[in-house]
Amino acid sequence: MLFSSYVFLFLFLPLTLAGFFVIGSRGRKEAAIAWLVCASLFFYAWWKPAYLAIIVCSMLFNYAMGRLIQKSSRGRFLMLSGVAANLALLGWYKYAGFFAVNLNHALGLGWNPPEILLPLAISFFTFQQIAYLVDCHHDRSGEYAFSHYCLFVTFFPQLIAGPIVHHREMMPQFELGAAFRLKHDDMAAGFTIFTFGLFKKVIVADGLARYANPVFSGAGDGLALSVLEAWGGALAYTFQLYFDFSGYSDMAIGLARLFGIRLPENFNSPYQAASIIEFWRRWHITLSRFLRDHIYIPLGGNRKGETRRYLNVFATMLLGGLWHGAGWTFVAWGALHGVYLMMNHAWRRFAVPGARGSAVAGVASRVATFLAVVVAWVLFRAESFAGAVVVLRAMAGFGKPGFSEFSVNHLAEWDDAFGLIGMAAGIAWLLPNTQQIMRRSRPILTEPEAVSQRSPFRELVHSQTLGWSLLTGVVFAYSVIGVSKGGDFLYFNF
Amino acid sequence: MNHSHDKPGLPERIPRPLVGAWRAARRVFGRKLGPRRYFVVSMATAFGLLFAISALGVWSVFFDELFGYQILYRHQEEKTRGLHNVETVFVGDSSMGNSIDAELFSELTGSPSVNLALTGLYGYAGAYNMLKKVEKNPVRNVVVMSTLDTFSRGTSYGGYLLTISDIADLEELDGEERSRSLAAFYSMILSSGNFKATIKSLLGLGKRRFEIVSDYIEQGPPIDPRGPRGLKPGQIRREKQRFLLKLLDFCRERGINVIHAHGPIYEGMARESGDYIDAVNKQLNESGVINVPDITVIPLEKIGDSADHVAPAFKQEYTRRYAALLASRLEIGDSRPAGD
Repeated sequence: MLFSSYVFLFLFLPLTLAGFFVIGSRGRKEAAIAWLVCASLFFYAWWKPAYLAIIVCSMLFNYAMGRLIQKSSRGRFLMLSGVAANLALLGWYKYAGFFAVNLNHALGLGWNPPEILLPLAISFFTFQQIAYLVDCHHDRSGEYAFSHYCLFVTFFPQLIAGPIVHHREMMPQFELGAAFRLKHDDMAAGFTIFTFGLFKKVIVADGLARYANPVFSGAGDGLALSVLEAWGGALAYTFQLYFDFSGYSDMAIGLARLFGIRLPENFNSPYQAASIIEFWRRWHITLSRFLRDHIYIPLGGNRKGETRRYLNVFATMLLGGLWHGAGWTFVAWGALHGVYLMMNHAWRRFAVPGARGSAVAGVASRVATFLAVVVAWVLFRAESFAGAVVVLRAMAGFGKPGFSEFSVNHLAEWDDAFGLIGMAAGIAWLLPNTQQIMRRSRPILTEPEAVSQRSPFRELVHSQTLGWSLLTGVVFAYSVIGVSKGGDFLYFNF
Repeated sequence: MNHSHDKPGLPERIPRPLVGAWRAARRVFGRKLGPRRYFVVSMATAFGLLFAISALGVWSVFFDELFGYQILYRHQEEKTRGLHNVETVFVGDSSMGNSIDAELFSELTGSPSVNLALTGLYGYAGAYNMLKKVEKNPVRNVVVMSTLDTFSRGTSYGGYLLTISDIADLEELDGEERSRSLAAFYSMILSSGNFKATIKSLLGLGKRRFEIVSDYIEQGPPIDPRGPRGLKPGQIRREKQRFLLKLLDFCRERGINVIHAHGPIYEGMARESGDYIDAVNKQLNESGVINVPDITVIPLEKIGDSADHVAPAFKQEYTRRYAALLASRLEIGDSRPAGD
């Protein structure tokens, strides 16, 4: 079930909210949690009921394992076994086909690997539970009630595409009785944040997809692109991905808030970053946090010298790339970001101090970072290396000028495309993000970053006025009528 | 220092009336609301607007000619009322509407024919409902024609509701089909495309009315169809057959001969879609329909306003080609037992 679907907006969400608050208002906190778990499992099963068994078994296994780890003297062994089991599950569903195909190709084994359909959200709920097992071993986890644990894993706003929540962020909120009673402050803030996300997804991201998809499909088929088409497609996808995923995150944060729950921040204006290091502190923040805590630091982090630090960064990004998808283009994307990060760390170490700090240097570093990210997204989006090379070659100037025949026939409205790309760029580069606009409502678990005093939009702050209320209603209605065009969330694939 | 503009964000040289309007707007829209009232006002605004847009959508589809394709539907529905002794009924999408001249086809085959083509929006569901409207005639053949990518599209649930004669027709659908039809229909009338076109049309800013020329919607300027990739077998959606199978059952019960033919398509597209065409033909053969597996291709110079539209100047030529392709499969004149 998509957040941007009629069945979710007009049936599932109102019924789930009503049931939750009716039960909660009678002081039956555990029953309200059970209701929310059932609703979340129904939400998950809507996609494919057969895979409900996977998430339920995964929860049962990890909860039992966590309790065993907490009580056993062989906690480390149990923790490693639990993590291995989780990785095996993820590996089977996400990577078995990929490795079988590659082994077949390399060794000519003639295997006929079965087609395995990737269960929705398996990467997300597996990562959350791995973090839980590790924390159980390090005595950083309490003894949670099973129903609370189930809600931590399945809570539908964040189940499908994150933010990847941590048990220490969620469990204390489930303990608060106040969260289970209807609060108009939460409803007002939640509905407004959700509406921002819906607009970003349905109007901006889906609008940009119409321009990005044909370019990458055409490149995959080997069609020659012009320079303008290649840049248009790459930029359209760059902003599509941001508005799609940050829109989803906003919707998740808004939905959780309707239930009185706050989620962690997942995006903080990443395209305003002045370096790749900063970009990764702003993009998919909860994934970066997981990769840092569970791959980079266990590998040694920066504690074992500069060379090891670079290697650790590279290895972490390589695995991060593989997490996004079982394909060599994703691995290459991760590797490229690994190289970017190594260069960035080296630059920070060796660059002349005077080269930093000036206004010109600030703009230049933002532009350079953005261009590096755009180039990497081409690898991320391309259907094959050949397709990526077609796009990158044209972007580098080895394409026809103007528009090709392909474009004239199928992307006749490039004017619209560049208008939409321009609007998306303006929002991403100049405006405060959703959390900053909503900061008076404390939208996330942490305090949003302050808006720069130099920003002309620093006073763009939401308040509970008639104007904001009307605007929210109009934007919601406008976004809902865009829902009919459809369009999956890109991060559902990862 | 000028203290007349005491609010932040207002440059000094703004004309006085604008300053007044700005302050008035700030007073009204900046009025503080409690969280409860804020929530109620935003929900009421959202759902009030959605209700108004839905009402406008329903009106544009059923009570006005704003929903363009319904003009075609009404044109074709009108034909079904005056039919006499028609033996062959063509139902399908625009690939057929632009390539079959029913009058010429009747002359060539000796089988009185009528072309009830709608568009891909209505799909097989629309074709099925159109067929039901000619039930009273002694129909012997039904030719269902659809463009090549039909099987890669979703089931046309919305098209079903747009073409039913009576709301009671919904009873023939099962619960899932009924709810999907209602949802698809609602998304059709609530779509931003329909809303924008309706508003433009009401304001006289955009052409919404289609003209019927040569028994079908007038074509736009021709396009160059080169570029798109071919279709792949993986794109086929098996559920697409749902209303085709209903149409088949309907005809079987009445002893009507059903033939499925592929609409014409740009030759480059056909060339790139070999495996897809084989897979579609296999699926059609399994359904029990008399399937014509041949693909009638359109060379570049005969393309109309879409890769599957024959240019109007070549409609008769393509009618001849289809007559040659279909004639041997039609039941004509006394080829059926008398009294049947």
